[in-house]
Amino acid sequence: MVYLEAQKLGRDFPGVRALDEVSITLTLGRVHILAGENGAGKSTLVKLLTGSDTPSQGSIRIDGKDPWQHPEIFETISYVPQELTLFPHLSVAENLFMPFWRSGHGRRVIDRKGMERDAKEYLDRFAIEARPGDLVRQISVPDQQLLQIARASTNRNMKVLILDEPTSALTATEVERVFSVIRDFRKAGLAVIFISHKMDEIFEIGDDYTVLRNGREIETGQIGDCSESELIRAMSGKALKVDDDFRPRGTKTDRVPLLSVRELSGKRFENVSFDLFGGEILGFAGLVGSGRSEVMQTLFGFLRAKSGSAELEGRKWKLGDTSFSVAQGMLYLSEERKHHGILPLLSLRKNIGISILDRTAGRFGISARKESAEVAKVIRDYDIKTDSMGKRISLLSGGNQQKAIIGRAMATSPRVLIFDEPTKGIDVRTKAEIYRIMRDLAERGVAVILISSEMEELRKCASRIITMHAGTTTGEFQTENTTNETLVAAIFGKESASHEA
Amino acid sequence: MKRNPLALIAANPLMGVFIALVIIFAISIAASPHFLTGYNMSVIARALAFVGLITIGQAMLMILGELDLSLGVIGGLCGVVAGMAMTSGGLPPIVAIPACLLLGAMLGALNGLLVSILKLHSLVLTIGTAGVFGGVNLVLTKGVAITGMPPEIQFFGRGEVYGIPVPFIIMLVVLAIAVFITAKTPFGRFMYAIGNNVAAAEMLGIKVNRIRVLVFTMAGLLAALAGLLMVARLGTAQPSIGETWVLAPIAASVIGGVATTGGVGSPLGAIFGASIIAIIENIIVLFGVSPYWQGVVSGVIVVLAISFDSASRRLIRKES
Amino acid sequence: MTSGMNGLVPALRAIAATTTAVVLATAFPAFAQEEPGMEVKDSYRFVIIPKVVHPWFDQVNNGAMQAAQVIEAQTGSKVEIVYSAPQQADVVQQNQIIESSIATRPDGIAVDLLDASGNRASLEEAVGQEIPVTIFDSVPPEGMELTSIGNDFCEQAKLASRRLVELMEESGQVAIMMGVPSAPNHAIRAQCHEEVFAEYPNIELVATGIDNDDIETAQKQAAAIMQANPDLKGWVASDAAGPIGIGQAIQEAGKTGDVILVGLDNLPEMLQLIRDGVAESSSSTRPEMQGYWSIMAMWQQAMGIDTPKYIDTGIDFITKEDLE
Repeated sequence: MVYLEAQKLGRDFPGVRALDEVSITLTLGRVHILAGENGAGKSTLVKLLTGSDTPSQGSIRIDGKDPWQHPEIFETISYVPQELTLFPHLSVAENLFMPFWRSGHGRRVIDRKGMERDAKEYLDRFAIEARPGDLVRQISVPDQQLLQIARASTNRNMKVLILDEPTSALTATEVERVFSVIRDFRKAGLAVIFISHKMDEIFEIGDDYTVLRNGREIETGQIGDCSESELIRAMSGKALKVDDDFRPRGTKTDRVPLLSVRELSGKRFENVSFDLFGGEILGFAGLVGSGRSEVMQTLFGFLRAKSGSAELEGRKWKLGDTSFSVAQGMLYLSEERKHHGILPLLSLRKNIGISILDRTAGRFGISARKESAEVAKVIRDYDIKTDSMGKRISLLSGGNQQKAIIGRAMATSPRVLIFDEPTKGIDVRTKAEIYRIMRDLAERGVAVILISSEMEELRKCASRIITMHAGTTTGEFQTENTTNETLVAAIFGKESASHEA
Repeated sequence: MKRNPLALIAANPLMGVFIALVIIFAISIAASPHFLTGYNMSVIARALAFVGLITIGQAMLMILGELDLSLGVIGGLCGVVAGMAMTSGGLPPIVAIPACLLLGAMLGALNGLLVSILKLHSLVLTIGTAGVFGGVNLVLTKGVAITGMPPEIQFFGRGEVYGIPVPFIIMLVVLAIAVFITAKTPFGRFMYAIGNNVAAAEMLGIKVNRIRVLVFTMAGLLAALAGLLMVARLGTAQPSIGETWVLAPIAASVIGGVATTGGVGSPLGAIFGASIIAIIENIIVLFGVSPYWQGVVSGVIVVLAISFDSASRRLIRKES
Repeated sequence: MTSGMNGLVPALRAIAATTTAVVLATAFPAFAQEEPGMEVKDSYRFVIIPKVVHPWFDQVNNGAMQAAQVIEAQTGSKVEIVYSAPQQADVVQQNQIIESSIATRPDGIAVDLLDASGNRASLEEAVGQEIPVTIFDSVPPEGMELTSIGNDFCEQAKLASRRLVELMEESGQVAIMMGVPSAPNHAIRAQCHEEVFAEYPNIELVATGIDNDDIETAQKQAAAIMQANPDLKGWVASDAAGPIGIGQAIQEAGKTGDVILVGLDNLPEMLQLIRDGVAESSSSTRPEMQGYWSIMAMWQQAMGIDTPKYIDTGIDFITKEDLE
C-alpha cells in the first residue's frame, strides 16, 4: 500500500537548485534505498519528507492527505541522522523517552522506575548491550547507533523510518543487528528509507531504489531488476566534458618522486604508501571516513603516526611536527575552514600576514608598510573581494575566506600543497578559480595533493588518482584511461587491479 | 565616507575603553577637590603599578586563550621566599632578587608545561597549582610576615623619580615591552593566532606548546616582580601578598577589551581597564562611600564602563 | 609578628596598671594664642579605617559618632566621621585606603592595623604629610610614636577562661575556639586561655577549633568538636564570631545548660545568647569606647596637644543581670 507519494519536488536556494523534479513513492512493508554521491540532494529530499523544510515546487501526499494542511501527519515519519545526536550525560532510558511527555513518562515529574522498565523492552528488542540506567557516554558507539534507531521507534505513530547511513560506524555483526531490526519493521508494515553507500548492504536489504545525482532523480526501480554496476553508473554519471579539464600539462612521471610515503599507519588508516611528483596533481578519492584526510593530516604532522616513514627528496621526513612540515614547504589546507583554517577574530591582513612574517619583520618589529604591500599583492593575485584588508576575515564570504587561505599558503612559496575538499560549500565560479590556481601551481613545479569526495572534481584536476576505502588504499589510477565506474567501485571497497599506464 | 567621531572608536578598539577612562577621570576631578593632587596621583599610580604588572601577564595569557589563577599566589610566594633569603638566608639583594624572579618564571613555566602536557584547561589546572603554591607559602611562613628587609631595596618600592613612584615606572617599562611584543613581533602574532584558533595555528606550523610555555613563563616572571616590589614597598614579606591579585587583573583585562576566550585585545587596553578600577577604588575612599555600598558602587561603574564600550561598538556597526 | 606582640603584652599591662584608664591632656603651661588648644576650628574631619567590614567595627563607629556629637555640642565645631573599611582583610588593600585617605587631607586618621610592619610605610607617609594618626585595637609599629587605644587582650581572655573554670568547679573537659591564627589579638587570646587552663590539673583541654572569624565556620567546628568529645563541659573563644557559632552549635545539639559557654565581645547575637541562657557571660572589649576615645585623641592632636602613648579602654564582663 502506498503511504507517501512525492511528486516533482524542487528546492531552490539562493543561486543553487538543490533539488529538481524529484519524485518518490513509499510503500508500507518495503525498504526503499536512496542512493547518490555526496551532495546529490539526498539530505535535502529527506528534509522535505520530514517536514523540516518546505519544497519550492511539487507536492507531497502522506496517507492520502496534504501534510501542509495536516502537519500532525509528519509525526508518523521518524528520521535517524547519520551523526550521533544523543545526550551523552543522560541515561539510556532518558535518551529513549526524551521528551518525556511525548512517550507518556510524566509531564512534570519523571517516572524513572516506569521509564527504565519500558526501556528494557526496547533494549532487548534491538539487542542493545546496556542497562536502562547506564549513561550513554559509557556504552559503545554501535550501541549508541542502535539506541538512536530505538529512540525513533518509541514514536508510536511511526509509519515511515528514515535511516541515514546507519551502518557507517558498524562492523559486520552489528550491521546484521540493524538489518534484523529493519526486517522486523518491514514485517510490521512500516516503510523504511535506507540511505547507504555500501553496495552489499543495498542489495541485501533493499526492495526499491531511487538514485539522485546533482539534485535530479536519475533512476527509480526495484533492486531485483538492477545490477551493482548499473547502480554505480547511475550514481556517478557520464564521462566529463572535455572543455573543463584542469589537469596540469607537461607532467612527466618518470622522474624521481619529490615525496615518498611508505607504510604509514595512524588513526583510522593503515599501511598507506604512495609517491608524489613535483608538477602533478595527485587525487585522493574516498568517502567521508575512509581515512584520506587522516593520512594527510598525519603526514603533515597534525595527527600522530603509529608507524611508517616518509622521505622528501631522499631526506628523512619528520612526522608529528607541523612546524617542521611548514618549514620544509609542505602546507595542508583543511576542509574544516572554520576549525583549522581562519583566525576568525583577526583582520584579513593579519590572517594573510601571519605566514610571511619572515619577510615583514625586522629588528624593530613587523613593518606595517611591508606587510600591507605583501598582503595587497595576495589580495590582488587571488582576487579576494573585500572592502579593506583591515576587515575581520570572518565577515568575508566562504569563497573569499578560502581564497585568502590559499593565497596565504601560496605566499610562502610551498613545495608540497595538500588541498582537503577545497571546494566544499563554494559556488561553481569560485570552484573553477580554485581549480585554475591548483593547475598553475602544479605547472610551476609544486606537488599538489587533492582530496575530494566529488569524482567529477578529481577527474577534472588530477592526473593520477589513489582510492581509499575503510582506511586502506584500494587502487591507483591514471585518470585518462580509467572509467568512472572503476573509480566508484574502488572507493566503495570493490577490489580491482591497479591500472598503471 | 563621512567623518564620524565614532569612526575613531571603530578604527582602534582601544578607543572605547580609553574614552571611558577619560570620562571617569574627568568626573573624579569635578567631584572631588582632593582627586587631582600630586600626592593622590602618586597614590593611584602606585596602586596601579603592582596590580598592573599582574594584569599585563594575565592579559597576554588571555590573548593566548589561557588564564592563570595562580599569578597572585606566585607573587606572594616569590615575595616571601625573597624575604626569607634576604633576612634569615643572609643573601644580598643582588643575588636574592634575580633568584626569586627566576623562581617566578619557573613556576609560570611549570603551569604552562602542565597545561601543554596534560592538555588540561588552564583555569582548572591553575586553581590546583594556586592551592599548592599558596600552601607552600603558608608552610614556609606559618602565616607570619617576615620583617627586617634590607633598607637598600626600599627604593624600588617607595622611591620616586621626579615625583613618579618607581614601581609605576617599572610597570610602564614592562607595558611598553609587552605592547611591542604583542603588536609588532611575530611572537605576538603567533599568540593571537593561537588564541583565535589553536588548530589553525598548528596547521600554520606555529610551535603552539613552546609559545604557550613562554607566555606562562613571562606571566610568572611579572608576578614575581610584582611580589618583590610589594615586599620592597611594605618593608616586610607578607604571606597575604597577591591575595587580591586574582580577579582584579582578569576584570581589568575584560574591561580593556581582552576576551576571556582569547584572540583579541592588548595589554595596553588591559592597563586602561586596571586604571579604571584603580581610580574607582580611590574615589570611593575620597568620597567616603559606606563600606557596605562599595561593592555596589564599583560594580555599577564597571558595568557602565563595559556597556559604554560595547554600545559604541554596536552603534558603529549599524552606521557602517 | 606574633612574637613581637607577645613581648609587648607585659609592657602594655604594666603601662595599663600605672596609667589611669584615661589620661588625656599632658599638661602644658598655657601661654598665648599660639599655644596648642587655643585655636577654635569650625570643622573637623576624621577618618576611621578598620581591619575589614565586620559588625564589631560598626560598634566602634557608633562610639566615634557619639564623640563627634559631644564635641559639636560642647564646642560648636562641626565633626565629620568618614568610615572606610577594606572589603578584604588584606594589608595591601588597607594601605591603599590609608593612602587615599591621606589625599583627602583629613584632621586625623584612626586605624586598626592589620599588620603593624606591613602598614608601616603608609603610616609613615601620613605622618610625613603631617596628618595625626591614632591606632586602635592594635599595637603601633615599633619605633613609631603613635597613640594607641585598646585593651589588654590577654587579660580579656583570662577573665573569660577563669570564669569558665570557676563555673566548672575546676574540673572537666574544655575546648578553645581560635579566630584567625595569623591575627595577633586572636592568637594572644587563645594562648592566654591555654595558660589559665594549664593552671588547673583537673581541667583537660581536649580540642582547639579554628573559625577564621566566621560564624558559620565556628558553628561547624564546634558541632564537630562536641560530636567527637561527648563529655565536653566548657567553651571559650578568641574572636567575636566564635562564641556566636559555638552558641548555635550548643543549641542545635540540645546541650544548652550541659555545656557552659563563656563568650567574648558584645555583638547583638552574643548578648542574645546570654539572655537565652546559652552563654553564661561574655568578656568584652568596649568597641564603642575605642571609637569614642579614638576621636577624642585625634581631636586633641588636631589642636596640637600631645596625647598619651596608650589608652586602656578596659574590659566589660557581661552577665544576664547586666542585660535586664
